Amino acid sequence: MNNIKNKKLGLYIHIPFCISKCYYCDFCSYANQNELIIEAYCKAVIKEIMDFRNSDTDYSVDSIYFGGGTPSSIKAEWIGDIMEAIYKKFNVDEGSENTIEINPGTLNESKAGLYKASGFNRVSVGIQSFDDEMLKKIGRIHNKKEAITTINTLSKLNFRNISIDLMFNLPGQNQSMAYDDVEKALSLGLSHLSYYSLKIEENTPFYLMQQKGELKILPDEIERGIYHGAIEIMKKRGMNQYEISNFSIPGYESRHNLKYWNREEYLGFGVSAHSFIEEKRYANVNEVDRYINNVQKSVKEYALFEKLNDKEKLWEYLILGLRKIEGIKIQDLNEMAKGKTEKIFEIFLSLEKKGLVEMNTENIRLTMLGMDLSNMVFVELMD
Amino acid sequence: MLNRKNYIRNFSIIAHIDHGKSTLADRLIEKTGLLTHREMKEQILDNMDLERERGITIKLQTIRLVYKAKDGNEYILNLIDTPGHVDFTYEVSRSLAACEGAVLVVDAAQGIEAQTLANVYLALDQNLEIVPVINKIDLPSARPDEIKTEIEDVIGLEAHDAPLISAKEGINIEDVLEAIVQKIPSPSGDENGPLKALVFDSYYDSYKGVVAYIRVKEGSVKKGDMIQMMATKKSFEVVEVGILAPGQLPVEQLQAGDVGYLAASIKDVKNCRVGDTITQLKNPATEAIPGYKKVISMVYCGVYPADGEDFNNIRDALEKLQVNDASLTFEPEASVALGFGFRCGFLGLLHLEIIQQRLEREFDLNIITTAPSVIYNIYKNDGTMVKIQNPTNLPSPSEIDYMEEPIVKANIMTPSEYVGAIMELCQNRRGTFKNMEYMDKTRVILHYMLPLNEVIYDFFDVLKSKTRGYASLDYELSGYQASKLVKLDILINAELVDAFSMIVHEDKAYERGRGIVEKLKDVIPRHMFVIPIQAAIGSKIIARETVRAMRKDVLAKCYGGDISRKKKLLEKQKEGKKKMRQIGSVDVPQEAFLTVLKFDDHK
Repeated sequence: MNNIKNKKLGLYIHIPFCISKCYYCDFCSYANQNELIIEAYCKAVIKEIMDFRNSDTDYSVDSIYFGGGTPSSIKAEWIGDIMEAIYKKFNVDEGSENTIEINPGTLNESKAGLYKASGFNRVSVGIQSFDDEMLKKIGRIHNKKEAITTINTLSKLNFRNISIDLMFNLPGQNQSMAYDDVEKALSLGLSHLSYYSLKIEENTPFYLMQQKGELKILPDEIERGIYHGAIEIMKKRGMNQYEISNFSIPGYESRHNLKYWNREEYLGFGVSAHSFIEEKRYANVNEVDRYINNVQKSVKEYALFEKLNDKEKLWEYLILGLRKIEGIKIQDLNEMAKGKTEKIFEIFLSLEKKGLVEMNTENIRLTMLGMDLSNMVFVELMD
Repeated sequence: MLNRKNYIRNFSIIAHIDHGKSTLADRLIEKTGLLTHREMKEQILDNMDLERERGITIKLQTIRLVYKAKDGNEYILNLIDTPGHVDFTYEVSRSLAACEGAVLVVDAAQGIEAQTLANVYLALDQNLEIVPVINKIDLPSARPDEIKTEIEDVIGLEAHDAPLISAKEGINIEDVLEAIVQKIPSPSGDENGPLKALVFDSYYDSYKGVVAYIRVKEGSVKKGDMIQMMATKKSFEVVEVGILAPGQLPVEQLQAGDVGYLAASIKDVKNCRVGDTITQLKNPATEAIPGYKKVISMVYCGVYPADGEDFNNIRDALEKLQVNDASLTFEPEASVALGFGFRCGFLGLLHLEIIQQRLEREFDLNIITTAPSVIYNIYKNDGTMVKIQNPTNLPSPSEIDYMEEPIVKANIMTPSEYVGAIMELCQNRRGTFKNMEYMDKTRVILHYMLPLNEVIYDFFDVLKSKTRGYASLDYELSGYQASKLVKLDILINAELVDAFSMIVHEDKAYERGRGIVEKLKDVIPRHMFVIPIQAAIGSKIIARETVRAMRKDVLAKCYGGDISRKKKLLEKQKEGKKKMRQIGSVDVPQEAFLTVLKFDDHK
């Protein structure tokens, strides 16, 4: 791409391998892959990066994110090789936020050291819960002890920016169980926390269990109660909510995540990886074999390719921007809508009447009710 | 000339649904060499998708076969198809009136069923020679000897030499053809007498106008003749006559004994109704062929566009369907809840469902149908009587002296172990037991008088489920009867939804009202506010449920920047919302309107 100029880019690398698949997971990941496939895959990712067409140097990468799957489930050397390729190919800023997702039970000190040496300065740990019984119930392979050991290992190696993922709305969970998880997480001195409500997706073991009536999900009232309570707890402990599911110490917001909500550009490498650049969204194919094959033959095949028109851009801007607690700036909205804001404000006023959004002269943001019913707001904004 | 008619056989195949009528027709066509197996679409006679799917025949197909019999002569066999459901009894009777005989197909495992009998009686009404055939002898559960005895005992037909066949496997098909030739009489009728031709089917062709399928009983007809329809008195000049060979093959003339088609630039199927008699304008017949009836709609419902803009498209579609289906009636009406739509009349519930599905599939329309209704006679205090079928038009209770509802005579055939369950069902549906006949040791026919408005609510579905599919039903209108009826209204968020209103018996109102509000509670999505759903008679609330306020409608994280997936989910949600009807401030999904169609009282 010749015309990437003066741009900040995010890079996303997908590592689709796991030790085992969790019961709720419908993302692109494979358990028990053999070393040969992992090797072929990582080499393909490196080739995909190196093949990326850019002749200009007037741009820079300010965030790199290795997600999965479980990036820490494969040899750290592969991660290092991919990072090396990135640094070779792209202009990476000095202060770039470089994150790797890891799972407890897949990390040891030497691995963490290698990550550090490869340039990672942020780690996102998939802990989900500190309740051993619950972890088993949702198909996680680690326990509470291993989770804490993992955090300690990272601290020991001087990782300052540690985030964890926690889940709530877990089967059989009550408020006090959920808050125990939050309290435990906060006691570990983290800079960032993502707090996700379990959603049963099709084609997952949980979905089948639910169909058979073996899995009872919590009533919406309880689920929202947990969410609202958790927000309060985190607020009291200095964790600032900056997006529906994300909390951090001020200044430690995830740059990479914010790119998604701010419609900033990113490139994805690896199987099923999504890219957003020059108002185009596209994604690689979803099967590992096919992906490897395509890269080896230098074939570009997309599982998705969309070019956004003005109406779509505006809608995206609204539904992504409003996920942030600060909401959207009216000035930006005017620019995006090219002055045609009459109808949008009409909708916003009716949403305000329903108590779903708050507006002042500068910003529009979701209320707590608006966050709980955000899909409803986004659907209203579609016209 | 007498010679010619000796080599014609006009016949129908009659059977209970699923006993193999269409498959046998296929085999006869194949055996007489008309079409090779490869050319033949599976079940050529049922060529509408919907028909094949439901295994029933709606529009008739007629076909002319040429068979070289064992006596060395060539015979013309005109196979006249009949529709296979109780809603179409009149059409069946007209098809049979065009024949001299009928092949009765009986399933070798299941034996005689209600429709077998109903069809046999119709055939006997037309003095047809009935040729029993026992089908599906390849089934392990086949018991042909018992079935033969059953046919002899129950129907009183000679069955000892009935062909034992498997239409599916093509076994002994020739026996059927021989039986047709040997047992069914050749047509009679004077070729030189005044023309009498029976219309047993008609359809609209955009080039030829209405094409009538006819059986010439007396006289002859050819191109250029001026003909008259004896019921409608309309006259036309014949443009073309021909035979169905298959496909339309023009011929010089059709004479007494022949089956074929006739086109006369007739613009409207209403002018060429099934059962009417065609005669010559000059030298007309003095009497029409008996049996003509103007079919009347028995079941009505409102048909509304899900998207208000489709009103005209629905009208166009209904007009197109009516062109080939004179029994479908419609007129525009307006509903407070649903806007502008049509009140349509149908022969029965199946006919209703077929039309509904054809509108959706063939015309790609998104429609909402209201609760089906029948015609009630309302006797007012001022001594006048009005007929109403739309509950909304019911006069206020203070004006009403009494009301009458249509009653049908229902015959239910069932293995005897289900008699208890069926009697309970009929009791529950306000039925009056008439009598019970034993067909044999294990099977009985129950005769009931049932209010039609009870039959149109999933009676058939419940009957089937209570008898594990073994019972069969046929019914005919018997008359009207005074009854304590009330109008049941449904209120959503305190607003009366006229599309849900229905007329029910006083004793059933509570149960039905409760059932409907419970179902609506499950199908109406949560909104930001609490929605009461109530059933009422007049101002009295008889049942209430509540849809709780929505507390959560939020998407989880997006992995790796997959924004598109999130957008797709929202778009789907939007689509779903668009398909809903807004009643007051409540979005009501189309499904809600179906809940009143299918009321389930299993519990």
